[in-house]
Amino acid sequence: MRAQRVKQTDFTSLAIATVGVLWASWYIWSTRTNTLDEPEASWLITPLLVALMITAPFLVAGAIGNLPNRLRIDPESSLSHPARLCFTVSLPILAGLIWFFGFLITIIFYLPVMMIILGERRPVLLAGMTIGLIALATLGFSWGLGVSLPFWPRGF
Amino acid sequence: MLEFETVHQGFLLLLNWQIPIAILGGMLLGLVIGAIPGMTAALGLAALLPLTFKLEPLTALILMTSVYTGSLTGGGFLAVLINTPGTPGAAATTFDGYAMTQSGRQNEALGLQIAASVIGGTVSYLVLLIFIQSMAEFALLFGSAEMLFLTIFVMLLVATLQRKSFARSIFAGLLGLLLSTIGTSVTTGVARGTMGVEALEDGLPIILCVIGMFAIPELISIVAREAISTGGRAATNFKALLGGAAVAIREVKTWMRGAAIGTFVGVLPAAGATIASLLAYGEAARRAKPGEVFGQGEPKGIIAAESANNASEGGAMAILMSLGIPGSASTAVILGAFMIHGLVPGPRLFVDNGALVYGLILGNLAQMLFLGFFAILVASQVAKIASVPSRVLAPTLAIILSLGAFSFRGLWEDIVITFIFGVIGYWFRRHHFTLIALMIGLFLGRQIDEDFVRFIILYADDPLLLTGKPIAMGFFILSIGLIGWQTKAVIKEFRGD
Repeated sequence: MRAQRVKQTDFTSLAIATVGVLWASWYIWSTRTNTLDEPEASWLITPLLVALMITAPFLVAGAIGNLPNRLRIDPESSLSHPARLCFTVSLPILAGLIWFFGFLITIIFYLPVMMIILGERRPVLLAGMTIGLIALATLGFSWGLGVSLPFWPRGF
Repeated sequence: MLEFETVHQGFLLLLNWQIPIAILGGMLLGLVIGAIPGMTAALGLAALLPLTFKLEPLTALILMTSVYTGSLTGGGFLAVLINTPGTPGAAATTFDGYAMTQSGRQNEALGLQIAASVIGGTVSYLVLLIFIQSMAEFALLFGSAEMLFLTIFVMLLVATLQRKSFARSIFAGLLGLLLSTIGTSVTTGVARGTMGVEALEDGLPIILCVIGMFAIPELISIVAREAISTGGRAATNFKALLGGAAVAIREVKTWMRGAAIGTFVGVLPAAGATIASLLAYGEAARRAKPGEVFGQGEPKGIIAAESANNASEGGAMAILMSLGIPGSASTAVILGAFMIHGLVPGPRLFVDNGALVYGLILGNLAQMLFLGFFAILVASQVAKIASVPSRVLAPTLAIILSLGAFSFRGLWEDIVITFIFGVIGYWFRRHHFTLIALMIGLFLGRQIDEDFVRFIILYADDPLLLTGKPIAMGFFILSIGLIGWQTKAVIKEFRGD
C-alpha cells in the first residue's frame, strides 16, 4: 500500500538545519582564522562541516513536504499547551533566581509557585516538598557530597 | 589464564568483616546517586574518595566499585522511568523501557532491567576473572583508525535503528561531534568555539548536556499529563518486578549476546558502555521474531541493552587494572583510589598485587548478588515516580537537575548549559532529530578529534596502509553496507512499496 504523505513544510527542521550549518561554519572559520592555533585544530571539524553540508539538502528535501506520515510532528508535545509553555518559560527564570538569590530562596519561591501554577493545591504537600528539597540540598549535596552550593543571595 | 593459587589468596582477603559493609553501603549509595537526575557516579565517587584513606586497600576499592556498580543500575532506573539515561550506557534502555512505563508496566520493566544488569555484570566479571590479560590485549588492538571507523559505524547503526529519518539522525550525530570539540583542543592546546565564555574552555560538560537534553523534554512533555504512567496508580508491585526479572533470566540467548558484546566492547575507552549497549540492542532488534516490536516496549530490548551496559563494567575494569587506562570519569576516580593506596594499575599490578586484584574481582562478583537484592528494594520505591503527579514531579526534578548541574563543576553556567541543551533536546525530539545520535557524537567527539589527527598523520600519505588493519576495514565495510541498506530502504519507502 502506498504510504500516506503529509504535504506541509516543517519550518522548525529547516531552522535547525540552517542554524546548525551556520554555527558550524562560524566555528570552523573562527578556528581556521585563529592565528594562535595550529592547522591540526581544524583537521576533524572541517570534514565534519562538509558532511553536515552534504546531509543538509537531504534534510531540507524531507522537510519541505512529501514526508511519510510517520514523521508527523506529535501534537502531544506542543508548547501551545499552557502548562508546557509555563514550565518551559520557568526554566530560564529558575536559572536567573539561582544566580541572584542562591538555592535556598529559589527553592522556597520557585517550587511552591510552580506547583500551584501547574495545579497543585494541597498546602501540606507544598510545604513538605519545599522542606524536603531544602533538606536534600543541605544534607545530601552540601554536607553529604561536600558540594559548596550558593545557598544565599549574591553578596551575602 | 586463571592462577588458582593467587585467586585463593584473593578470596582469603575477602574474609574481612569490613567487606560486606563496604559492598552494602556502596551499593545503596550508588543506586541512590544513579537514580537522581543530574547526579553523576563520578561526583559520588569523588566525594567518597577522602573517606577511603583510612580503609584497607581492598575494602576501599570494593567500596568504590560498589558505588560505581550501583550507580550504573540506578542510572537505568531513570532510563526506564523518565526516559533519561542516568548514565550514557543506559541510552538504549530508554527505547523499550520508557514505552513500558508509559503503558503502566514500569515494575516489570525495572525487573527486566535489574536482572539483565546483574546477569551482565556477573558474566563480565567471570570473564574478567579468567581472561583479564587477554582482554587488555584485545583493547590494545583498537588504535586511532579502529576507533574512528567504529564510531562511524555506531553512528550509522543508531541512525538505522531509529527508523525515522536517516538524514536527521546523521545531522544530529555530526552536530554532536562538532559540539563536543568546543573548548581547548587536546592536540594544539588552544581554545576553539568558546565565544569568550570561560566555562567553555574545558569543553561542554557532556554528561550534563546529555541529561538536560533527555530529561527536560520529558518534563516539558509530562506537565500537561497527570503523570508519566497512563496505567493507573502503581503501588509497589514486587510480583511484577520479580516477574520481569524471571522473564529476563529465561531469555538466555539475548543476555548471553548482550553480556558478550558488553564485556568486549566495554574495554574501549570513552564510550565502551554506550557503544556496547547500542550494538547489543541493534543485534537483538536484528534477530526480532514476528510480533516483537522493538522500540515499543519489547522486553528483549531492555535485556540486551542492560546486560551489555553492566557487562561493560568488567571490560572497563580490565583496561583500568591491566593498562591503567580509565575509560570514563568514574573509572578515573577509581584509578585515583588505586594510587592513593600505593597501587599503580598496569601490567606490574598483577605481579606485585595479584591476590588483591583477584580479591577485587571476586568482591565485584559478590556485589552482583547484593545488587539484585538491593536494586529490587530500591526500584520498588523509585518506580512510584511514574505515578507521582507531574505538577509535583516536574518542578521538583527541575530543581534537582539544577543542584546536580551546579555540583558538577561548581559553576552556575553549567545550569544554563543543561537548560539550553534541554531546549535543544525538546526541538530535536519533536522534529525527529535523533537524540541518541547527538549523544553519541557528544561522547565520542573529543576522543575522535585526537584519533583523527593521529589517523591523518599516520595514513594521509598512504591510505592503502589501512588495508593492513582488518578491524578498521571491517567497520568501514559494515558502514558502507549500512548506508547501502538504508538507501535501498528509503528508495523503497518513497516508491510506496
